[in-house]
Amino acid sequence: MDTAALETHDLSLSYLGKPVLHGVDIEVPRGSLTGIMGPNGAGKSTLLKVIMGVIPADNGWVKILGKPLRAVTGRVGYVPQREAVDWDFPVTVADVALMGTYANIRGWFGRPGRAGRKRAIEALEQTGIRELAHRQIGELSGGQQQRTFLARALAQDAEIYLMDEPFAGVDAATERAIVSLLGKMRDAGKTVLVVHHDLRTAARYFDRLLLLNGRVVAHGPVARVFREDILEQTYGGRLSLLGEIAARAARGEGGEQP
Amino acid sequence: MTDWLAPSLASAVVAALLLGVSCGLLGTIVVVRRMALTGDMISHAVLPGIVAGLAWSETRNPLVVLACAVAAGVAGSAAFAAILRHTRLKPDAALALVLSVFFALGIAMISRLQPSGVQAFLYGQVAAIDRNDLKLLVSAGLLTVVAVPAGFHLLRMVSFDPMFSRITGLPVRAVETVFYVLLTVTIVIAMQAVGVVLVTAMLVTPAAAARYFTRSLSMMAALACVFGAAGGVAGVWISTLRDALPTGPLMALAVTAIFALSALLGPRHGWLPQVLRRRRERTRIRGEDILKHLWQIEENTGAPAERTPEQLAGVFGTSRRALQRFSALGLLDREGGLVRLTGNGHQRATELVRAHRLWERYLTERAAYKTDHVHDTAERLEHWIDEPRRRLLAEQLGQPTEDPHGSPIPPDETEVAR
Repeated sequence: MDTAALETHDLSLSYLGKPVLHGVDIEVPRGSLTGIMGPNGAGKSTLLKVIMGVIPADNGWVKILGKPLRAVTGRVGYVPQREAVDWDFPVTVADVALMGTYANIRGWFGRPGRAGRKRAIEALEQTGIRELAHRQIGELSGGQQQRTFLARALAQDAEIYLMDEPFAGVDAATERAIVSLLGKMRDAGKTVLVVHHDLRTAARYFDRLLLLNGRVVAHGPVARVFREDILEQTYGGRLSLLGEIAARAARGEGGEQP
Repeated sequence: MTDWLAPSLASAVVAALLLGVSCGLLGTIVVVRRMALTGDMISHAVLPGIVAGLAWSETRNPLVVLACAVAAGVAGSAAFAAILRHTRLKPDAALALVLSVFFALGIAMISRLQPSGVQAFLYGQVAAIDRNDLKLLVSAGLLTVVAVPAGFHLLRMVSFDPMFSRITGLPVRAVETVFYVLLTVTIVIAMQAVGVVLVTAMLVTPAAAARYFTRSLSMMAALACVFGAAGGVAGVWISTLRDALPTGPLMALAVTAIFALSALLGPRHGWLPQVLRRRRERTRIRGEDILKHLWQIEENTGAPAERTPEQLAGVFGTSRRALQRFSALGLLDREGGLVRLTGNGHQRATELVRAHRLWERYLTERAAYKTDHVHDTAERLEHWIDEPRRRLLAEQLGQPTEDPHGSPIPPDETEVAR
């Protein structure tokens, strides 16, 4: 079998003395569409950032397409959480889409070429916002803003995509458009991981689910994982002892002196 | 006039121009990254370096001074980054800490070493800029003018979304280093003109003013250059008018005056354009209310309605401007001192009534409003419901013919015509 699109081994992370991730072991097959779900504070966004190497893990490793992250830069696409974007920044929709192609810029004097521009325009067409190309991003509706960043990810032409709540704050038409786009990406062989919040739509939107609550509660095909008892485990409170002891270790205090 | 040709004045003007342009370029990036205080921190952090450089190089070689200053500035930035990484202090506290500690060190070094020429950096003295300084200023200015536009795409991307830049594999750290070094060089040179405290004004104010005119970063940078250069030269010029007028503070005041004018008149969120826009909208709404008023009299009496301006004033308050504008638009007819609807005015009034009644219907049917709660909001929103939205409302409600109070909803006249 092919190497997995994404493999993590024993990822653990604490932030400011609070454990966020415990021993996350996952293997995501190529060409799959996975929803990452879990309560607030379950570490969903953090997991994406650790996978991308933006936050270093305390422990464990990540392999993408069978290689360490360093060897595959530019092949990971990303759609950030809405709150992480400075909507006041003077850039247009077209500028943002074009940024998806910057992996090809070489050196201080480099600038985006014709091929990049073409790809950015195609991406805007695919997300249905070509006519908004010259708007400043703060002037858009929530759905249009989300489409803009989706277009940037498409322009990246990556192989594995990580998306942080692309459905947050969008209108119904945009939600449908994004779902169909995700399906098309999967059918084109891309691997897509999406942080998602809505339990009612999860089983319909994704092939696989990763249920997270600090640790991996369950991970696999929807039919196997989307079960009441597993959801209860995911959302029904954290394992208090796991969190407490890991927090002590992270703070480096509270141990018994021999 | 011949004063302008005097060598010292000419070099002051060249210095002011170059400073304005470099500060405008880098200040634009500083402003959109919301790091104005970082600029302030750097201007204080470079002081120990400047003092060391002046003490070390007895000939006061500007290149040595600049190199020491940049080293100190980079050390300050590194200290700031380290505090953020290793402590729980927030950026504002970390900036204040670095700024004051480095500045204190610089002042202590001045007391111990007593280097000559340090006054120029503390308070700024354009007149004291000599040929050597000017050479350095020209080279640094040219460096900035070439480097910032050349690396514009990278700088913009790294400033806008550093995380995404890293994922894409861009050399974020190298870009940041280049930016910080250029910024520090510009700050050190600007200090010679305006002094340590006013550097931030030269850096931030032109860019902040430019934001009132454009939403494009490149245009903002270009305008900030123009404003910075204009303010700088204006400062030099005003200081020649009277004795004992300090150039640096005048430059800072001149760019601030440009900012004030921009905030007042700038087309994007400037004060006056907003006031005018609001007034225009108020006039439109008043005029539309008059159209609707006449229309409703006709609906009740079944006969064409005429009212004197005084009668209308009794209902709406004096509406001279609205009456004038709506007659000019051909919506009202004022012949013989009486106000009546024209054909177009009648149609516009029908559209408003249709919007009003559709909206009432929508609120009661779809948003579970009580019938007696819908009138006021419909009265306000009818002025903002345009043709496509009227059509959409009607479609979603199944082309209703009556509002919740039982009054007829006038049909879409364009449809009737068809």
